[in-house]
Amino acid sequence: MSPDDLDGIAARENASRKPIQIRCCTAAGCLAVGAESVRRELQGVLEQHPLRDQTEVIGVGCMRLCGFGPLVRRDPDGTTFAGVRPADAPAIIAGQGPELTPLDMHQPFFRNQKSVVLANCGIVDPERIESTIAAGGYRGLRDALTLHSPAEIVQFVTRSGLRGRGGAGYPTGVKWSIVAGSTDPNKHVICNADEGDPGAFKDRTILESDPHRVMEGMVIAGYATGARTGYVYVRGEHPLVTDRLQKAIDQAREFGLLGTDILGRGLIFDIEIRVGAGAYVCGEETALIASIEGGRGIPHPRPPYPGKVGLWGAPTLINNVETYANIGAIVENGPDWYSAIGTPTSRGTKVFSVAGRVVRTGLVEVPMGTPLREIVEVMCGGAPKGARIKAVQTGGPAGGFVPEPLLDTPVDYEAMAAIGSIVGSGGMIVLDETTDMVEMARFFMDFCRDESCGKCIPCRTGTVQMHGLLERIGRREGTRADVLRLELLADVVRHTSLCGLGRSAPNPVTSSLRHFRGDYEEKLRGGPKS
Amino acid sequence: MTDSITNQSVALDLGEVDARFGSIGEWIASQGLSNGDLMAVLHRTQAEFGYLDRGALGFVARALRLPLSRVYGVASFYHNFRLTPHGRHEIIVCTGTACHIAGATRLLEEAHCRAVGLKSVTVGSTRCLGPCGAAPVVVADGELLGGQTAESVSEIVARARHES
Amino acid sequence: MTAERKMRINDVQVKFEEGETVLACARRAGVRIPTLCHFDGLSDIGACRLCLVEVEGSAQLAASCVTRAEPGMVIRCHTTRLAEYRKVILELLLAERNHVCSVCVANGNCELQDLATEHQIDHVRFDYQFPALGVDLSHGQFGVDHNRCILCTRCVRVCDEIEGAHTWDVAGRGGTSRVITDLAQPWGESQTCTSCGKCVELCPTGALFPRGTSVGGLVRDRGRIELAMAHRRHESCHG
Repeated sequence: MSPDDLDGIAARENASRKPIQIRCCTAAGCLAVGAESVRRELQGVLEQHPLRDQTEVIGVGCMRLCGFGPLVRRDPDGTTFAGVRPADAPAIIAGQGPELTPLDMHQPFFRNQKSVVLANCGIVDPERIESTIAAGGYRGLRDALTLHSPAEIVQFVTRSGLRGRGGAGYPTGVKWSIVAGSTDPNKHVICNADEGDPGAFKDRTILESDPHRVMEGMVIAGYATGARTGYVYVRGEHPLVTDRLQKAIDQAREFGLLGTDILGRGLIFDIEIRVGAGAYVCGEETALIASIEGGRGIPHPRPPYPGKVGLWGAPTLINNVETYANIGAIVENGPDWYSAIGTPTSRGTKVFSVAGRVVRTGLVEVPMGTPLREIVEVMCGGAPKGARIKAVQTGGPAGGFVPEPLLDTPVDYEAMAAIGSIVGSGGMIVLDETTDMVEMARFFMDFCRDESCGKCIPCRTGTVQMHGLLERIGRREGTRADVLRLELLADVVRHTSLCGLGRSAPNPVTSSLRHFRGDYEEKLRGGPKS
Repeated sequence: MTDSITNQSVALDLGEVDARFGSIGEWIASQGLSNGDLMAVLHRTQAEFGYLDRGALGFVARALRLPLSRVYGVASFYHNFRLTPHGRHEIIVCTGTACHIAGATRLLEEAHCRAVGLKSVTVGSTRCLGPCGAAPVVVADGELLGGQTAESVSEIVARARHES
Repeated sequence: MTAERKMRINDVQVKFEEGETVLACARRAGVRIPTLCHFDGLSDIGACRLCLVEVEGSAQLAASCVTRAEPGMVIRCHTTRLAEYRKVILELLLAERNHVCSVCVANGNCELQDLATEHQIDHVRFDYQFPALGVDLSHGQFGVDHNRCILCTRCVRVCDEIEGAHTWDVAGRGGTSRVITDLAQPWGESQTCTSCGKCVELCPTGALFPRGTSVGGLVRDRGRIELAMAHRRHESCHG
C-alpha cells in the first residue's frame, strides 16, 4: 500500500459507520466486572431492535473510569453509563430509560485530562486496524517516511524532550541517537511491556486499547535507528494484551504497515511478541534481554548498555510502552508542540493509573508538572467515605510514599526525586488514614524479596533480612536497634546492588522512615521515644 | 525459608519421552525454533501438558540442544512455569498493591482453607493482574472476577469441588 | 590523539592495556581488592559486590571486575564506607545459610573464612537464617553441601566455560536459589558430569568437596586447573 492509501482506508471506514455507535469497554478492568456479557446482550438485543439499521455495537478499549465498570458510551452524543448490567441493554440502545443515570462527563476526572497517548483509547476498536486508521493511526509513520530522514526523526525525539516513561526518565533522544549512530547492520528495537509494578496498569491498558499506536512508535524507531526487528516483551499475566497485540501485528502485516515494504517505501521492519513467565526483574532492561534470549532473567552489569551491546550482542533500542506511544504524535505534530506541554525538565504528558483507597479508580493522562493533589483529590475524588489521605505511593516497589502535606508536589522527575519518590512507571496507590506504613513497607519488601533474581548478595539476602526486621517490628517485637539495622541494610542494599531492582528495593523503607517514623516508633518494644 | 528445589532421581527413557512429547517436537521443527526460543517452547509445553515435569524438560533440552541444567534453571526461575501437577481447577488470588489494601490476604487464606485436601483444586497467588479498579481480583479457571469477598471465594472453591 | 593509558588507584599511578579491568590493574599495582565470585580465567559476572570501588566523578560504586580501565580514572578501593559495605555483605553471607567453621571441611582453607578474618568480623549483626538444605553424597568422588554454598557460580562457569559440560546451573531464584546438576538430579546420577573435579577445586567454601574429607581436612590443588585455564586463555588469544 502507498502512503495515500491510508486516507482511502479512513474514508471507507468512516463512511461505513452507522449513525449511532454504542461503545462498550472491553479492557481488563471492565471485563473483570462482566463487560463481556454486557456486550453480548447489547449485540443480542440490537439484532431485534427497530434501531438496528442505524446502530452498531463496538468493543473498544479503556474509558478510564475503571472503578465504575462496565462502562458503555452512546455516540455521537457521548452519553456514558457506568456500572452497566446486561439488563440495561434495551434502554441504552433506545437512548433512554428511567434506571439509567449518565456519568457527568464535565467532572474534573474527565475535563482535566490531556490526551496524547490515550487519545484513541475508548474510541477505536483495538481488534480492527481500519478503526485505528480512521482515527488517525499511522499518520505519524506516514509523515516520518514521506517527509523526514531518519536523522531528522532522531532530532525530533531529542528536541521534544521526551524522557523514558518506564520509570527512570532517561532522555529518549539520547538512546535513539546511540543506536542510530552504530554502524552495526544488525540492530533491534524492544518494547518493554513487562509492567510488573503491583498496582500499575497503564501499559497494559494502552496495549489492550490501542496497540497500533505503540507499534507505530516502534516502526518509526526502526526507521530512525536502522533496526529491522522489533520485539514486544509482554507479561505472562496479561493474556489479553498478547491476543490483541498479535491480532494487531497480523493486520498490520496484511496492510503493509509491517514487513518488507512498509507503506511502499521499502522500509523493512517486523514485530514479534515475547511472553514473560512471572518475573518482575525482567522489567530491568538487561534481564529482559536475557529473557528474550531464552535465559534466566538475570541482570548484567552496565556498561555496556543495550544501546551498544544488547539483544544477541547487537545494538538495541529499548523503551517503555508509553514512550513508543508518544512517538507518532511527536512526528505528526512536531517536537515543539510536544515540548510545549509539561515542565522545563519533564515534557509532555504522563499516564497514571490511580488505585487503592480512592473514590475514582482509573487511568488519567495529565501534563507533566500537574500536582499530585490535583490528580488524587480533584480528579480522582480523594479517599472514600470522607477519610483523609495519609499518603500516595508512587512508582511501585521502587518508589516511595508521598505524605499528604507534600501532595502539592508536581509530577516531574526531579521534583518527585527530591521528596524521596519517583514518577516511576505511573502507578499511584492512594493510602488513607487507616494505613499502617510499616505494614506497607513490609508488603513491598516481601515483593522485592520474592522477585530478587538472587544473583548479587546484597539484594538476595539484604531483602530477606529487611523483610524479617519489618515483620518483627510489625509484631511489636522490634527494638530501636532493629530500626538501626534496617537503616544500615537500606543503605548497603541501595548502594551495592547490581541492578535497579536491588538499588531501589529499600525505597519504601527509607521513604516510610523519613515521612512516617511515628508509625515505627509506636510499634517498638518499650513504646515511642519520650 | 525452605528448600523448594530438591534433588529427585530421574530415569529418562528417551523412547518414552519422545513418544509423549512428539507433538512438541513437531511444533519446534515446523516453526524452525532454536535455543533462543526456550521460553516459548516451555510455555507451549506447559499449555499442552499442564505442567513441566523432568521428562518434559529433558525432552525440551534435547530438542533445542541445550544443557539439562540450563533448561531446569530457566523453568524454575519463572513463577508461572509449574514443575509439579496442578489440580483440574485453579484459583489464583491477586496480591498486587490495590488488592492487598482491599483484603487479598484474607481471600487467599480463605481459598487455601477451603481447598485443604482437595486434589482437584489448586490455589495460588499472583503479583498484580492489572484490573485494580475491580480489586480484590481472583482468577478462577482463567475467568477474571472482580470485587471478590471471602464468601464469594469460598463459593468458587465449593463450585470447583462439586464439578470434580 | 589518544589519551595516555594511565589511571590512579589509591593514589598509585597505574598504566594499563586497552580492555583491562580495574581489578586487574589494581592487582598488578599491588592493591588488594577482595573478591569472591571472580576467578582468573572465568567470565566475570559482578555478583558478589565485594570488589566495589569508588570512581571519582561517579555517583555509583563500580564492580572492579567488570569495569574497564579508562584514561584518567581515579579509583579508591579502601575507604571507610567501602570497608563497612564489604563487612555487611560478608555478614549477610554468613547469616544466609550455615557457615559454622568448626564443623566444616574447609575450615582453615576457605575464602569466605579468610575474608571474614580480613574484615575483622567477630560477630554477625543479622539473624541467622539456617535453612535446612541438603547434602548430596550420591557422586562417587565428590559431595555437595548446599548449606555452605554462597552461590558465587564459579562451579557453574568452570563447568561450562572450561570443561564444556554445563552440568551445573542455578535453579530457583532469590533467596531460594540453589546450584543443581542436570535436571536437579542427584549429582551421582548426572549423565553430563565428567567427574573432572574442576568445580570442587574452584569452590571458595566447603560446599563442594572430595568425599571422605573430614572437618578442616580439605586440601585444594588449583595448580592443575589454573594450567588448564592458562592454556585456554592462550588459545583464545592466538586461536
